[in-house]
Amino acid sequence: MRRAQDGDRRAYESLLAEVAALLRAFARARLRRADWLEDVVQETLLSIHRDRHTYDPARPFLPWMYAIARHRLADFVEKQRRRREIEDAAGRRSEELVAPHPFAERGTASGLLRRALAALSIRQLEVIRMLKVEGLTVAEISRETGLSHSTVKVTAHRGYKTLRKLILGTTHGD
Amino acid sequence: MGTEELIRSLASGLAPVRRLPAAGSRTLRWGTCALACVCIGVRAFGPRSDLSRKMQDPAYLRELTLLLAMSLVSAWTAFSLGIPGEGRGRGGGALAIAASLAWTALVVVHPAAATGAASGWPCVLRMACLGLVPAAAALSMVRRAAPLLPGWTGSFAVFSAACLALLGSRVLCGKDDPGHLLLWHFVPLVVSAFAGIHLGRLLLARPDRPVANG
Repeated sequence: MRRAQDGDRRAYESLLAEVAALLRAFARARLRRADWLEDVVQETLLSIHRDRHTYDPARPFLPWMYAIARHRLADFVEKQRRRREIEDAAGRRSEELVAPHPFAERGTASGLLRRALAALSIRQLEVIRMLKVEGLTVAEISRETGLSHSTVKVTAHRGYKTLRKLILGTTHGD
Repeated sequence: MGTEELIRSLASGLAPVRRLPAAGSRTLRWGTCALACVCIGVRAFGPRSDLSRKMQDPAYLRELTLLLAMSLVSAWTAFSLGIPGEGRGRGGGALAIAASLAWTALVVVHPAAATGAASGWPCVLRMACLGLVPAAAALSMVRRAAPLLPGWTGSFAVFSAACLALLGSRVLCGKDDPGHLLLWHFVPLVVSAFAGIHLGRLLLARPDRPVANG
């Protein structure tokens, strides 16, 4: 991690690969749902990346890493619980409002996509629009928005994940 | 995006980062600046008229020293809580509560003439003025770290600034009556600790914070 803090990309990639294996084992022992495993690992890797400046090379790495992992895991589980509650409440409400028509917008692809896009933050929407609609590269977006390369990639990644979860979750649920 | 792809993407965009200095050195840096701010504030408001006599009083000096120690311990706890895996929050919390009780005991035990039921709002306002910049500085320094418990961290950060403000207010306010000190100086300190919890949750929560890059 010390080398990663100094900007050594190769050392960082191999460190993250090792960390991902440790995180998988850590999360597997604590999660009831196997399909959340990779999400938790990825969220934790993103946090480790974001907070890497707080690691003190004079101290052992693992307590630092597991502290982040523990909090990310608890955060993730809580977020899923809240999301489920919101979706249940929204589902009940939309059933009350539009239940009579089986082909209402609720089930169509455009309605689904619109609802999923509404769940993204403004920054995520903007970055995904620039990447996928305008066809800009990460470097161009970085120049235009003033965000760093990593922030652009991470923002897009989080946006994709939210979209995937909402669209696939709804499709599977239907 | 798969995990392997994410790892490659994070590694390819890696930039060197400036390491966060140790909690001790950040505490010293913050303490020096915050104390300077409080001194400027005290000078601006004008110290109590009997200050030179009070500076000869060991009980008064003990009280000021205790407040300074409380402030530094709380700041150090806040900065430690900003580093994942440090886990000194519980010890720092216990120390801060013990020091607050010790300060209360010092104030209550020390004999002083009662000043009646005069309003102490000017003291509260002066404390708020003295603590504003140190609190903002502490929160902004903690924000650069990675506080996993934003509420607790915010509380310690604001409490440390409030302790310094209380110290300053003791140099400003000429009333040594325990009733006045507890109601108009100590209660704001406790309130600031609770306000710090909310401020911490508001300002230090992690999810939407940007990725560190140099």
